[in-house]
Amino acid sequence: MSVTSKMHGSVWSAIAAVLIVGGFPFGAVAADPSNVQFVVDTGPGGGSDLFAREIVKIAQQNKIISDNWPVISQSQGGGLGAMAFMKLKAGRDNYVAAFTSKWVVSSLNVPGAKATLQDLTPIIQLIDEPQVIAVPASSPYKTFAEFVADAQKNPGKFVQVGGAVTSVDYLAALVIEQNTKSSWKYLSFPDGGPRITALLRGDAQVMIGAVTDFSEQVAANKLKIIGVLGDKRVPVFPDAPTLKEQGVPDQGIPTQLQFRGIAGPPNMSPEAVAYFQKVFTDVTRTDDWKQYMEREGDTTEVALTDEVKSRIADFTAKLGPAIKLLKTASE
Amino acid sequence: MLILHQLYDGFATALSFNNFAWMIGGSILGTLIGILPGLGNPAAALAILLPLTLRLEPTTGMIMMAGIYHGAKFAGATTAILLNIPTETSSIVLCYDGHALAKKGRGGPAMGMSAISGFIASTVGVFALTFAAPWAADLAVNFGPPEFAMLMLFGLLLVVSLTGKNPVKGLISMMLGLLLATVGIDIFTGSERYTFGSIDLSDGIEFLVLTLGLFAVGEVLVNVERKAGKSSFVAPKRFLDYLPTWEDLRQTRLAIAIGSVLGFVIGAIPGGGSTLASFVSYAVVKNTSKHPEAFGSGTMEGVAGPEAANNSEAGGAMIPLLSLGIPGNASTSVMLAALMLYGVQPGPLLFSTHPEIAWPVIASLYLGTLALLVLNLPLIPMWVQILRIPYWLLYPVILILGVVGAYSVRGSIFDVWMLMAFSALGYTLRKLSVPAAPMLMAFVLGPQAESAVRQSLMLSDNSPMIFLERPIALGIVVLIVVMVATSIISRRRQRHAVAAAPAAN
Amino acid sequence: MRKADFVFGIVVCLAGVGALILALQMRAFAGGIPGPGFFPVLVSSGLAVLGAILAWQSLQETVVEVRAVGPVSAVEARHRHLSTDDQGGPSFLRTAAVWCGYVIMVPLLYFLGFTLTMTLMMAYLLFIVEGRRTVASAVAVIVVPAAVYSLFADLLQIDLPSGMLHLGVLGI
Repeated sequence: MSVTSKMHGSVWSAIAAVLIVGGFPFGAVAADPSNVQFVVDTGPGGGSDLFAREIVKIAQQNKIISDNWPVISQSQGGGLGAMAFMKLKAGRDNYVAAFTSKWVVSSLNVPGAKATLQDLTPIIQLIDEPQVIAVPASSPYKTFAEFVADAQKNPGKFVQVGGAVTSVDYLAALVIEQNTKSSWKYLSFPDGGPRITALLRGDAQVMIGAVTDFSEQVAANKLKIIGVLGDKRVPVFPDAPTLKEQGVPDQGIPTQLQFRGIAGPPNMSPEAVAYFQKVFTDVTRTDDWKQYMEREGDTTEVALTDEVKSRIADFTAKLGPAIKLLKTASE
Repeated sequence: MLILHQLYDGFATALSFNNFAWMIGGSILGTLIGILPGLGNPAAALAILLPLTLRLEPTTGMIMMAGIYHGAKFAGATTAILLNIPTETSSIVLCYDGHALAKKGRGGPAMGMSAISGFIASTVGVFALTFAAPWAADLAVNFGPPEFAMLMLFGLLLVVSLTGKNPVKGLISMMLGLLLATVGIDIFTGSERYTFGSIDLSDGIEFLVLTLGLFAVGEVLVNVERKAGKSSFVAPKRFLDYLPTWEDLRQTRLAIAIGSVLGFVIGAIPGGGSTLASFVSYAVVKNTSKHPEAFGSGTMEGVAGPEAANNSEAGGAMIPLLSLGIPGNASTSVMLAALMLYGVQPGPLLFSTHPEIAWPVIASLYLGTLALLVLNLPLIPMWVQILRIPYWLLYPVILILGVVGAYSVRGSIFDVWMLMAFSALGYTLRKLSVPAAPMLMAFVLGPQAESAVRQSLMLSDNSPMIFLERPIALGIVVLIVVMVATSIISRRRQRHAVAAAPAAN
Repeated sequence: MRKADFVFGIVVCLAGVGALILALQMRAFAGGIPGPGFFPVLVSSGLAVLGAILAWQSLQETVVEVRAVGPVSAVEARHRHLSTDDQGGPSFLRTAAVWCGYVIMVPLLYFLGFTLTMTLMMAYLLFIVEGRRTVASAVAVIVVPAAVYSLFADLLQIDLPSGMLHLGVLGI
């Protein structure tokens, strides 16, 4: 017994913690996946991280799930790391990942990618995130069409600020530039904060982003929205016309540019897929979810596995040429 | 005067029993998690505890986060001073003088000094936040790529100034850091640099892995050359010997003042961060001190200056967050995430639409340091006992924690391999008397400098005049010129002194 | 010290040249402004030059201790203190033993998982390298890795390598 007496009290508490918190799976139910891990492609505070945490929070508050789903960050390569991670977990039922359209772009941009979204099991699409166009409040442009007209007259003069060159706002801009024979510069910042200040400061004239990127600034009359990508106006900014209404040629831009959904590892069991589909669909039916969508300015777009697969294929097809534009633009 | 009234209300809310209890709890949790390598930086600690803080009311949750933030910072100082292991970027500078002090048997006072200077700086930070917020918010908006580029250049020059007796080795270390930092995908063009087709490298080298390898494990490798005997730690006799003396406090007045101001200003700049703040503070304090040659071998100013900057930076970082909705550093990013998850949108209107959240948060940032002072000062003797753990037990634990830290960043075994490589590099550099800190600083500053320069040139159509046309950037350029000039003059003077007394060396 | 400096200088110079060759394959300018290759070219050439200077300096009989820009840091003096023994000798062997044990542990992580591998590594360090065959060491070997695992993986929910055995206990 002299050995045990040498053990620290703290070790006993650690072991106790294991038993209590870790959860020995005595009498575990075979059906529902337990110890679910939610994989995202950003660090804490990033878009996907917030998305995942919000879902888990709503699910817990509405008693759709009873345990905590920790959020795991696999932020390499804008989705590539997360996809590779998920591929490694093939056959496992307790890993889900929040994918965005960025994952498709990243795989197209890196031809030798080890894993693509096609390899994984799409479970459900949840959101379409409309992209809007913002300019400083003092800007002379009232519509995006005016900006484009100015850019046609002054090629290479204006600046659009955004994220990495593989982000959808840059690709959309490239497509518009090609359609309208105009051109402007693109300023990249990895974080959202400096993008906004660049716009406020006047270093950039225009920015394409999600509703939440701008809503507070617009409410404070620092920025204004002069266009919406896609064919539907956004409830949060009812006066902002869509590109179609403005007559800006946007063919080549997928109608759902920035979408979010959940995917599982390859060869996920059909029971697990059905389970997660039910969980997430239930989440979208709650009031908390509706409030979340209003806040974010997003629209709920629920689509299940096969539909998701075809949407992804459609997106890939449309974006292929845009990616080529990207590669030539950086020459 | 409305501001003072709101600040008072903020304090009153923060001091409610419930909120205060959660703040203390947050400080303790933050300290415990902050000790662990890999999780030591406040952003990671905040992220881990996010599920817990989200269960609370928004105001309480934010107050708890303020407590966690300070707890993690204090823990970072603890490991840097006692073990020469920086668990976060801003505590690297503390390894210099802090650990030297610990080796001299003054580890307790060093930790106490860090807590006290942090407290004083926090006070400065809160007042500056309250009264200088509009000015600082203006600064935050007007700080664009040209200004940032010049600031980074200033930082890099400071790195050079700290390279020590053999500048060639110091510069090599710095160049290595710059080179390692380019590994990955170039954000502007999407092309790969030095990735050799590996997806793990395409996101670059993780800073934490580099730090753990060079410092923590590297130090272990150096120390195990000799079989460790009994710990050579001599415990101070009286409790007061664990704390800084009045003499210490008197000597560090200027350092604390400099650190507080610098930290706040740099914190207000989005992208500034506590690394830059603590580092610039250390360099400026050293260059303005009466005995700069003592720095590095254990001066209290070398601890007080950076720690003051570290803490007032938090106050500065809140400005872009609360007034513009823009996070200034990683920790405020997590706080922003929490606010959004609470359904509160931080933006220019936060102070007017949700003052009941904004002001208590500011108050709790301040109270957090007070809580730490009260909680941790008496516990310092306990922390210092870590030095008593026999090395044969301590170093395997460090090695194990190193693996945890390296793996936990991105869940990648590749990072553990990198840890191996960097630890060998760290050992080699130590044996060759090449300082490791320039590499780390260059690794952090380099990419930011490069990005900022390229962005600036893009804005100006390749004209370098942009760095002189914009007022703030020009101001920093002037500062750089002044610094270089004074260094050259003092170098000439020292050269004459050396030439006059050749036997001195 | 001189020989070591010389070798180091040459190594650095070669590394710099290698990096430079790779950097020159990147585009130095893209769209008119400095491109991805610009900075790496600067840095790698700087590295090559510095490596050469160091090697050359080490060949001199007396090294001129020129101060850098600004006052001197005493960090250097501290570092010099540690490196009184040069390569070779029993002291380096110990370090090599520890480091090799550390490196071998990495592939084991993949197969055996965190807890088992760390237990093995700690056993190796304490029993073989340190030669401490005491009960206290045995206890530490068993307890520490398990405690670390349960702290991180269970309490803090940080993912740690779980190996291929899938025994379900402590991530083994």
